[in-house]
Amino acid sequence: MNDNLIPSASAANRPPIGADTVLVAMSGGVDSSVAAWLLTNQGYDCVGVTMKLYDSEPEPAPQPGAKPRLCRNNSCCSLADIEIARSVSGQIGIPYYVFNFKADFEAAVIRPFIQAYDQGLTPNPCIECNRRIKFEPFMQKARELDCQYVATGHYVRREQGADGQVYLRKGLDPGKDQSYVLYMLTQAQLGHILFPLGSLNKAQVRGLAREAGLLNATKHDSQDICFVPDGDYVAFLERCKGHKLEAGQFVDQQGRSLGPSQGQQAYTIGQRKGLGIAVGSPLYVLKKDSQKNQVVLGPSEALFTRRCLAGGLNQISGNWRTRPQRLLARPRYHAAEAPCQVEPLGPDQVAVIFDEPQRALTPGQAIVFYQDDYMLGGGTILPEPPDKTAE
Amino acid sequence: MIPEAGRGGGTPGSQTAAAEAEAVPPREVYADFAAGTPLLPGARQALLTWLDALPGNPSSVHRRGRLARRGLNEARREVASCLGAGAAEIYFTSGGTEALNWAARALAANGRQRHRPLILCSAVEHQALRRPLEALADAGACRLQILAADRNGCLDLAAARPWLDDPATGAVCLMLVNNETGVIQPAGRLAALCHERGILFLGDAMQAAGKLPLDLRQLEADYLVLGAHKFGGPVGTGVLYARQGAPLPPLLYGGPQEASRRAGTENVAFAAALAAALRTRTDELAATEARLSLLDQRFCQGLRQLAGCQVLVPRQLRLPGYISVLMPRFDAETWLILLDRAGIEASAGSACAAGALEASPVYLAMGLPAAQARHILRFSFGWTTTPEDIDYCLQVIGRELAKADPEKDER
Repeated sequence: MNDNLIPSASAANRPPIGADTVLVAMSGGVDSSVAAWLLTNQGYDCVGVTMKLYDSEPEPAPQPGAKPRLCRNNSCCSLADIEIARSVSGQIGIPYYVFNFKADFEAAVIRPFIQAYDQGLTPNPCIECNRRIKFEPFMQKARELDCQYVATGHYVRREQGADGQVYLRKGLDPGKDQSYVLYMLTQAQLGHILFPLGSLNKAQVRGLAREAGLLNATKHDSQDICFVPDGDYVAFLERCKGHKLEAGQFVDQQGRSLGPSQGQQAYTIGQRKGLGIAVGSPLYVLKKDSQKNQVVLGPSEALFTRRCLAGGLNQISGNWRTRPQRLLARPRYHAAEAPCQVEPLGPDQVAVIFDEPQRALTPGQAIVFYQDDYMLGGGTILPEPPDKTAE
Repeated sequence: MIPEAGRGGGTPGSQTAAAEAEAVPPREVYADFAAGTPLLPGARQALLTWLDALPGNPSSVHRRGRLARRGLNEARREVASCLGAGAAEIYFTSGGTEALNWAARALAANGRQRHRPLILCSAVEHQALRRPLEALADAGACRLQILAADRNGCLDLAAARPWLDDPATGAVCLMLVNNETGVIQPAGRLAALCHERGILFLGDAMQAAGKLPLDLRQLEADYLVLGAHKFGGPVGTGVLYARQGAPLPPLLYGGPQEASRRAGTENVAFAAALAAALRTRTDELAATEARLSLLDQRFCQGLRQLAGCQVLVPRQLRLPGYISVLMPRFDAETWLILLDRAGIEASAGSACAAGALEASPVYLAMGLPAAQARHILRFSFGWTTTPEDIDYCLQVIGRELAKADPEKDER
């Protein structure tokens, strides 16, 4: 009697596990939802999955303020988003599961995030998450479940080369291209990842979501770091540590004290506002010294450098790790690519010399190399060696 | 937009697996009776009869009001008769969680010393009891002492004794059967020990009702909790038994329903369905147990043939049909999906609000390391299970284990 109410779940109707099964990472956002819908329409046997990365839901506590919460709502792991992903999977007609990756996320992303700030770096946790969680161990799960592919809603194009290599090209929507955050993918992984949105722009994706009647067609995009959705990473660091940051010093380029700082973690290279220092000319954060807990301030001009070092390298294509060459480099997510010379210095280090001085090259941020619209891989900007000042 | 190359390029290993998959004809097997059971025909009949008979408010004076009240009273008497209780001792609730919350409040409000009684509760109680007790303790209404379980998840009576002799102890809580392992707890002996000392005893019979003989003339419980969906009734209705004279402060204030202790128009249809289901399961108890014992044996014997599968609790300690298995190779999260995709609905540990699996506190209380607890699957079978269902489960598990180790693939 309820055949009409409940979608058929008969085992006989289910496609066999094995052939072209895709594990789709679904956040509850419109991009990954459309990715799942497109792949399903193309005949893939999709399984929707949300990775539960951390607890964001405050439980109603009998006693107020019993335990500080690490995270707030409205990010990809909130209950509301998981319910959206679940409902969208139901609309598409694919099974849906939640993976518990909380322990992995804590160890591989949150702890290193805190550590990096303590070391005077400005980390990129989304990239660390892609490296350590989103593709591994997610792809390990996919292998266990006999899924040939995993898929995500990233705006990037995957191209199978005649040479057997997989190439990654920027997403066609210049405003949405996400190749930068995928520089760590390996050839072995790329052989098993699908990016169905790479050739679409955001408007088209929303159009498809509306066409498919997906309930999150008009949901706004997520911003900020998912586990710090209010953007206040200093408050997050303090919640994690259980105490305030240790106060430090602002100094000028000669090392003379300019006054007390909130602690070096609280500042970002290039920052001008919110320093609380009043001097005649505007001052910018030039450098951070975690050992002395000092933040070096100076004029805007001093922020511009031509050279930086990069380590933690991953090469998707090309041979820039072994042969000096001219490429384009993007030293931060939303920066324009700039022409540069890439010089290998060792097995896991390159020097990048830009044609034009770049503003605020920030240790801890990813630097990603391009040739035309091919993304070739990248690495992490290293702190300058202490004995040497940048050009 | 998907490159043609790489499509359909399964490894030889996975093709073999696909061939094997076809060798076992697909089947749907429900193996999650501990979570919820199929509605029994008698319960369904009672439900529909009373839903169609509405409007019928048992408080109304007119004919249909009288009819509804009669239905409610009959349901109450039926439940009482199944349990060896008096009809006035049966309170209908919206389910087990409500009944456990209500009983927890009753225990906190009434200790022997009247003020912040010490309440003892086993380490393997369901969160529907554990959480309200913790909340009451946090609010200063009682103190809470957790009683240890042994490695089989069974309450350690010897370790509990000193606590029973503590004059501050006002109440003790213990489930009759554990929901994850099916372990039968020493509830009868513990209840007797409490009775001797004037300590209130709350028995959580969620997993026991309709599966274990229950007779409140023998079992010296002051409170007992039942939930219909565990024995073939609908979800959303349960029973709190409170012995005549046991303290029971009102849960909901309002009208005079449920002896003015739980106000609100009574749900006659659900109460009738609950009673019908409990009657059926109680009458068929011995026959079902005999059948499930054979199925249990068949499953455990089959598991023994599969390398690495380990039944967690020996049969003599648990109800037949509740089988927790330590699984090799994959964690429970992966196994559940593999089984689900093959049409087998089993369970594992407890899920958080989002649906992500967490290591079960029950397995942790049994002393299993968290890494092992994440590898435990719970199969719970019931009266609709057939030997073919059991064999299919074994075949699917065997098929997954026979596949090439994905760890060794590529990379």
